[in-house]
Amino acid sequence: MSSSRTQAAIPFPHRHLLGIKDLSAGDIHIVLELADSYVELNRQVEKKQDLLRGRTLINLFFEASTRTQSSFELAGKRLSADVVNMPVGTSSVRKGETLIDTAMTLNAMNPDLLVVRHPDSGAVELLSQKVDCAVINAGDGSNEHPTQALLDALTIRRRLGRLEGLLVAICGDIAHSRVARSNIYLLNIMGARVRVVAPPTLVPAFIERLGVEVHHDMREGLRDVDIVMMLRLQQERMQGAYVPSLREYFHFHGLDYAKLSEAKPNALIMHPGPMNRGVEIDSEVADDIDRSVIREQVEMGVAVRLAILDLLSRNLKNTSSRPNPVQLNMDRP
Amino acid sequence: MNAKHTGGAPKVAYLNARLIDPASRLDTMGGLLTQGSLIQDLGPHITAHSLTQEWRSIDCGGNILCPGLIDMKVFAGEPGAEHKETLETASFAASAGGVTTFITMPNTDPVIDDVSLVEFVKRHAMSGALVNMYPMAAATRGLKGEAMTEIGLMQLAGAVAFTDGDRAISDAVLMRRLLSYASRFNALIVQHIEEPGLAHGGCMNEGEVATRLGLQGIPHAAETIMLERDLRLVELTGARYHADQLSCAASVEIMRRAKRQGLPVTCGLSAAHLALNEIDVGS
Repeated sequence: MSSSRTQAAIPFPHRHLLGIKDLSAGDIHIVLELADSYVELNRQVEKKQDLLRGRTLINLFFEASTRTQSSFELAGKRLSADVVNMPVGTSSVRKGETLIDTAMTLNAMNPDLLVVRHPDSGAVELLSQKVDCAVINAGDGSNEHPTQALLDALTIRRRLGRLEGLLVAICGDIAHSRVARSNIYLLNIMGARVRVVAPPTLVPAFIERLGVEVHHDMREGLRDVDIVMMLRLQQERMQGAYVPSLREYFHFHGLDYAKLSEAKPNALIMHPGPMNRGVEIDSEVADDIDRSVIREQVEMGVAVRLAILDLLSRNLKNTSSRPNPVQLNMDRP
Repeated sequence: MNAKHTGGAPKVAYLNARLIDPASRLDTMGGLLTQGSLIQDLGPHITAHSLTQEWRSIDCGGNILCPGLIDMKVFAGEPGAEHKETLETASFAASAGGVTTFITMPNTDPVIDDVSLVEFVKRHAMSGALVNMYPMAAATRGLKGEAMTEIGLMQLAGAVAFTDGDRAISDAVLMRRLLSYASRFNALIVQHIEEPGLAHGGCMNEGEVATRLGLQGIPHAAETIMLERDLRLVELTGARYHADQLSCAASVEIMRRAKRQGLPVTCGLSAAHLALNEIDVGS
C-alpha cells in the first residue's frame, strides 16, 4: 500500500481479488456502485475507455470457460488493456511446482493483471503469492468465484434495490460449487439470509457453520424466498454416485412452476450458467421473461469485471508515472 | 371395539388355543372372540363354558393362535424363475405357514431396480395374492454395488425398503452416499452384513469344525467389520438402517451398543441361526 495512487480516490484496499471472504461490506458496496456505472458504458455504442492503456491483462484458464473468460476479455479490451488469452491444455498442467513455474514464467512477461481459473481450491491464491501483478480469481476448485457472486449481487440489487433482509435459496450441487460458497459469503456479509437446498449427498458437512439454513426438500426450501439461485449439476454426478438419475433429480430438485409456487410471487430466478434444461431447471421457468434474470446476470458480469479491473488497477505499482519509452543505450559496450 | 358398529357382524369364538402375543408378552391357553373383523376379547377366561348361544365356536385343538407373521426376506421366483414359484404361489405358501405379510427381495431376474418393476410386483400384490405383499427394491443398479438406484421414485411407487439382497454393499463411499441420500426420504436401507473379501469362498463358520471337514470358513470379523463400518456411516448420515441376518454373538453386542446410542437401526436373524450351529454342518 506504499505505492502512490493518484487515481485511488476510492478506497479499495486490495491488491488481488481472491475471494469474497477477504472483502468487507464497504468493499462490496464500492464494487457494486462502480459496476452500476459501467452498466451504462456497456450499453453505449462507444464502449472504449483509456483507463488501462499500456496495461497487460493475461487470462490464464486452467479449466474451460466461455462466459467468464470472454467477459474478462471484453472488460479488459473496453478499458484499452492488451488482453492475452493463454491457452492452457488441462492435460499438460500439474499441481505444485509446475503451477509455480507457470507463475514465474508469466511474471517474467510483466503482466499487470492476471485472471486465473484453476480446478484446485487454493491454487489461485498460491499463484498470487508468486507474482508481482494483481491476480483475480476467476474460480478455483470448489472454493470461490468472487466475480460471479458480485455480478449476482449487482443483478439482485438492480432488480430489488437492496440485498439486506432478502431470503435467498441456493439450490443444487452445493458440495462442488464455488459459486455457492462465494454467494453464501457475500449474501451473509450484506445482511441477506441464505438457505441451501439439495439432496444430502450434495451438501458438504458443516455447511450450516457458514451461516446458512439447510433444506433437503425443495418445496420447503423455497418457501417464501425472494431469490431462487439454481446451480448446475454436472452430468457425471447424476449417474448414481451422488444422485441416482437425471429424472429423479429433476423430479425432486428440478425447478419447475410447482416448486416455484412456494417462493414469493415475484421471486427472481437466477443461474450462473451454463444451464442444463430439464435437469436442474425447467425450460419454461428458465425462459420466464418476468422472473428469470439469467441473461441479465451475463450482462452484469461484464460490468462487474470492468469495475474490478478498474479498482485493482488503481492499486497497481507505478500507477502515477507514465511508462517511459524504451531508449536505446548507445554508450554500452 | 364399539359394539354398535359391529352389532350385526358374525360372532366367532376360537377356543382351546395357545394364545401368543409378543407385544403384550402373552403366552397362555385360552380363547379369542371376534365380531366381524374385530377382536372383542381374548385370554384364558374364554372357554366353551363362558359363551352364550350366539357365538359360533371353533376348536383350535391346542394350536398356536397369534398375530400374523411378517416375513421381511422372501426370495420369490417371480420374475425370472416362475417354474419354481410365482408371487401367487408364494402367497399360498405364506398363508399356509401363518405369514400374513411378506416383503419380496429384489434379486430376481430382472433385478427390481426400476420404478416399472416395483409397479409390477405391486400389481401382483393387489391381484392374486392371498396375503399382504410389499416389494423391497435394489439399493444399487443391477445389484452391482456401483450406482445407487432411484430411491425416491421407487419409494413413491411402493418400495418399502432398499437392499442388495444377499450381496453386501461393500464400497464404503457408495454406502455413505446411499445412506445419506436415503435419509432425505426417510427410506430404510437393508444390508447383508458380510465383508466380501473376508468371506470369499467360505461356506460355514471358521473354526475347528470347518477345519476338520476341510471346508473354508468365514471368520466372525467378516460380519462384525461390515456391521461396525455401517453403524459409523449411520452415525454420519442419520439414515435408517437394518442389519440383515446377524449370525454371531459379537454382532448382537454391537447392535445393542448402537441402539443404546440411539441410532435408528434394527437387525434381523434367521431361525436357522438361532436353532442350529456349526456342529450341525458335520452331522
